[in-house]
Amino acid sequence: MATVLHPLGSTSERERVPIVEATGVVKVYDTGRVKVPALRGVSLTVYRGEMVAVMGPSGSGKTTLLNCLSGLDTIDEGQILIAGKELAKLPDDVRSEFRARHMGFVFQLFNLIPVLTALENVELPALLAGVRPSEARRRAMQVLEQVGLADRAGHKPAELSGGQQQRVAIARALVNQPDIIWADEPTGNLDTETADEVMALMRRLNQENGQTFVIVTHDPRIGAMCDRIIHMRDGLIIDDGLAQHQVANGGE
Amino acid sequence: MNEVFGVSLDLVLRILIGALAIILVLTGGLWLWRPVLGRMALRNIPRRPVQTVLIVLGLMLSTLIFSASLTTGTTLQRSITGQVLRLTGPVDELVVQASGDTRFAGPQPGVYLPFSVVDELDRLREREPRLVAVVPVLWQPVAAIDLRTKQSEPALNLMGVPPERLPTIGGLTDRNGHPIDLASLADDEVVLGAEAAKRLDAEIGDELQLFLAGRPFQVRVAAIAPDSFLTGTLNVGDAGGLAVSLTRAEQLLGISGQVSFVALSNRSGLTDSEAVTAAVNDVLAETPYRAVAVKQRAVEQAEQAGEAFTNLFLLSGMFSVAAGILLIFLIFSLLAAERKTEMGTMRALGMKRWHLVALFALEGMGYNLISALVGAVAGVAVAYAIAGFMGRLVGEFFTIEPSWRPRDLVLAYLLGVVVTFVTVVVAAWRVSRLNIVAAVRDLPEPQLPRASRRWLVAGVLGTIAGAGLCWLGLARESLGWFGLGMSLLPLSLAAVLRRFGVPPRPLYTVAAMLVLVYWLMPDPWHDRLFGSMSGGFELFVLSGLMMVAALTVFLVWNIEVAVGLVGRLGRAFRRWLPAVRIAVAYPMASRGRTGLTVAMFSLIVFALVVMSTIYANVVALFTGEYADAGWDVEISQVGVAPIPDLLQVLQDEGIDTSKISATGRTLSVPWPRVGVRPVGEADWARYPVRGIDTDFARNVEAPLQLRSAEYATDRAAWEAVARDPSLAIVDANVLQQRGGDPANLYLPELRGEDGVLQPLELELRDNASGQTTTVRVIGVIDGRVSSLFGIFVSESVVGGVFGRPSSIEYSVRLIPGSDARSFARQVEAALLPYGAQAEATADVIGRATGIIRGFIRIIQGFMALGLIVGIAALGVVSYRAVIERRHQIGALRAIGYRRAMVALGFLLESALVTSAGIVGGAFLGVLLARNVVTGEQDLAGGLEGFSLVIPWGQLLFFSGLALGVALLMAYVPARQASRVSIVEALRYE
Repeated sequence: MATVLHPLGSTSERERVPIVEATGVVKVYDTGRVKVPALRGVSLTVYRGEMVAVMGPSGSGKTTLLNCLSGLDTIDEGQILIAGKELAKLPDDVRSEFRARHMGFVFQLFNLIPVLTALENVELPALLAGVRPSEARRRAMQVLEQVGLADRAGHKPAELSGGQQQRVAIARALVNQPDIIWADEPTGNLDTETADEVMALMRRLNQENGQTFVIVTHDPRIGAMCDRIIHMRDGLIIDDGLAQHQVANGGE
Repeated sequence: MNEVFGVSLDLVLRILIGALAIILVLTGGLWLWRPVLGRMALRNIPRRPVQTVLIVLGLMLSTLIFSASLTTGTTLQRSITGQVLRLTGPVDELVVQASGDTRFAGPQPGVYLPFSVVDELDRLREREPRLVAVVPVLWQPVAAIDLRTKQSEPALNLMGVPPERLPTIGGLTDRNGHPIDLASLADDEVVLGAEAAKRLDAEIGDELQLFLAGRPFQVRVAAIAPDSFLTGTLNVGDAGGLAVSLTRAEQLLGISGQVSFVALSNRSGLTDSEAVTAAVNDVLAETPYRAVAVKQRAVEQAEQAGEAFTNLFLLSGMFSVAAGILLIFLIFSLLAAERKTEMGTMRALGMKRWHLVALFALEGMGYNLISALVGAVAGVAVAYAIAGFMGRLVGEFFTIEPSWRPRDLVLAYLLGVVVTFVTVVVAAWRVSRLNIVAAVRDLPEPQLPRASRRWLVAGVLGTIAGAGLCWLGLARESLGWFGLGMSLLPLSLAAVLRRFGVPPRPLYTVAAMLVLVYWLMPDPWHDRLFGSMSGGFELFVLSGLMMVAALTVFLVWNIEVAVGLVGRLGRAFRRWLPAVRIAVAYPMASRGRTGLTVAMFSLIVFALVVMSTIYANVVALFTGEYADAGWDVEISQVGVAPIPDLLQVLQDEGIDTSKISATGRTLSVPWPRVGVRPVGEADWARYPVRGIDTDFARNVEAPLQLRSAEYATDRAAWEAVARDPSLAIVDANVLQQRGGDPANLYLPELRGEDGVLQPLELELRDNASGQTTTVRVIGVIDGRVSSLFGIFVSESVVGGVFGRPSSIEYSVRLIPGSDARSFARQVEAALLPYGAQAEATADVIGRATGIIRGFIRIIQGFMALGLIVGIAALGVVSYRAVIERRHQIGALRAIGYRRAMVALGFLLESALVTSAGIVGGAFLGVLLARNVVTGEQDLAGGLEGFSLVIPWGQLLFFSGLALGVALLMAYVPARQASRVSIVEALRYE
């Protein structure tokens, strides 16, 4: 479905198309002796092209929500649709392929493969998505240029700074031009200046490419740079940020 | 068995006990002084049970090798000693005719001593209290058939013993221990030995037809006695024989006043042997008769055999021990990698470097004490299995009785514990060098632009040691020392140059290539460059270790090339390309770890391939078309008068002689009777002599690999030898030094420049009579003619110098299409009155080479034990990799890696590393085997038209087996990796 994308805050409610739809999601961690409810009936919608921040104190269920929404983790109750597809019902291999083609991930610890160069790390998802090796390399180089690291393409992660590693991770997340990018504390391991740089980069890419970003963070400054902030506490969404967003955009 | 490699086992035991005491005091003291280190070490052991099992498995192998080698030596020594002692019983010495060399002297058929010798010895017995019995024995080989069972035996020994003297050596008893009185036997009664009874399927009361020089006479079995000298078993594996009184034997043989040998017995057995032998030889100084301490000689030979086998198995096991040591390094590198952050934190908290070493040493000791125990016991089990295989090989002649000694077990245990402990400490010292900040933050160790000063010191020391070893090797003409020096030099020099900033890759590549070139250099080149040197089986082990070390250095520094190739191949399978890329990236990133695993597999595959290739070439060389010298049936007649006209006798016995196309005859004098030396040399060597007739010379199909220029053809040379008693042809074994025993005939000077025979005169001596003659060697038989062995001379030389031959061989060629085996059976039945044994030549060759082939197989099996190390190593590496990369696996799965891809990546990685080891080891193995087989001093040295046989089937089998088991070992962790929960993995740090 073609979607008309607008710069931040300019997409009108009528044109907004949901890409993530979660309804009554429950996730309980069973440690054998105790059952810990991590999500207690979460419902949420994220629209295409949005940059959403999920915030809340430690243990509120932010990362669990991201893992469940992205299909990395299973849920105990409820339903999650990504672009209309219920990932939980797909076999593991199909789910893996779906992630490779339609999703990108950015982690707090960067999670780059230490034995591969920056370029090889970035082209990996493209190869996983079945892109020809030459095309994968071209795309990877292009994305590295986008994140300003073309000159570091041949370096291994250990030879890059934290900020540079995270930019490589972002490039890796973008190489397949996914519909949605999940970022779990992407600036948690970076100093303020580098964190701002990385955030600015994501914001720019969001605006230029129209990709959806779901960012888990507990840094209010990061939240402030997003279109909308979802607040969580004790496994529940206490504010999905839609009201402020509508107000900000002049809605009812 | 008291020595290994010439070092007293008691001394080794004392040193090891001292070393263990030091280790225990050190580790125990450390534990008491810093209990926290002990607690940490102990708690680390059960942290990962699967890994602990693999570690114990890997560490036990060295002890297993030591234990199995020592126990095998003990088994052989005890088996030989036991059988010899049972045979000789109370007999300690034999007095025989031996005017020359007494080292190998023994009784000979047809050689007699006058009874005056017995009288002289009786007089000696009266004044020498240590000599308690003097028993003259008359001996003659006879053929026999049991008329009830129709079973026959062509070579039994008829022994005539004086009954009145028997009580002085314990008397003769039957199998139930009841005394037998030879004097009370009737004229037609005999006492049969147990082995002879078995072969004839005879029972008491059976009638036997005996043939003495073709003359038949009938006897009855009055009793069956255990095998001993007195009942005709003169050597282990003999068919045995039968005993009668001396008087009756004299009547049967028509001999009086002479005996074949005199058996002596001492008061205190072996203890008195030296004194009694000296006293007897003193008395008989003026005669050609000497006392031979047969029991002492046999016990010493058993001791030597035990030590030789222990040494052989220890050397063969060195590949596995080396692989085991590498495994210990690998294990501790992995443990250190796993605990890097912990170690960094501990260092940051104030722990010193030696604390970390102590921590690992204590933990290592924990594994060590258990694994050495398991290894020592498992080694005994392996030795028993080896004894079983050997028993099957030699069971026809000799019984292997597996046995073990607590001392062997203790020695192996101590050796295993000490070797492992030292390795653990060195490995721990190495891994304890860490950058605290990098360790705490789990970052890679900072790379230095050039080698550290430590490497410079090691390099300089290595260079000095290498140069010293080269000098030592040159001075002693020892290839072992020289080769070790030549291997150390380039690698040490590379370490020195590295310190001065020379890039490592070209430096180590060149150094490794130099080592490889040195070891793979053909012998003539080596001799030309460095002079002639010699070495034994240890060279095989040394060359293997050095070449594998060089290959590993080469691979480690050039891994990018191999990996790039695999990466390019991976492009053909686009769907799996990401898995391929990851699989090749990890081994490349951990050069040290990859190198260690590659080296382990290379070592074992190298050893197996060398042995397989040698095996295949032994078979090709010694059982090929040349092997039988053109003969189909061998007829052997022991110690009796020749058959007057073979063809006529066969015809008379109803054999279809039209099947025979050619015959030849040789008179054989075995090596103990023959002294041989090049004219002008002082020391006598030993070698059999065979006198040939003109028919043999005309019909033998034995090409000569070296021939005197005065003969136009090989046939002309053979015919000249049969005609002229001053000429000889020798087999090709004299060109090679077998086992370094100086008593073996070794005539390298026969081979001149460009393969032309150099004239050489040999002096031949009858060790019994001392009579000598001189012959000129005019040819050397092609090494592939494995059925001809000895110095071939004219029949008249045997008659003139040695008197009666010990055996006569008739060689028969059949017309094409005849069944040699069935013909041999018919001939043997027909010639029984002449005491002749007939066998198809192919069977004779098969039996002779079968034992060699069997032993190679046993050694191969022993070497294959090292594969356990390689497999355990892969298991540890793969298992560790799953844990180490858990977080990365989570990330990969998150970005779309499928489960199958994760598993495939792990399997591919194992396959790559294993394959590098297998291919490298096999490549080096084939190259070295080529040198071993085709070198001038070696199996096929100087043979025209012989090309190396490469056993592709076996190579593929070993490679496939190693790869298959390695993949199986990697499968479990790979599967585990593929099932890692993404979220759990991402949370894992």
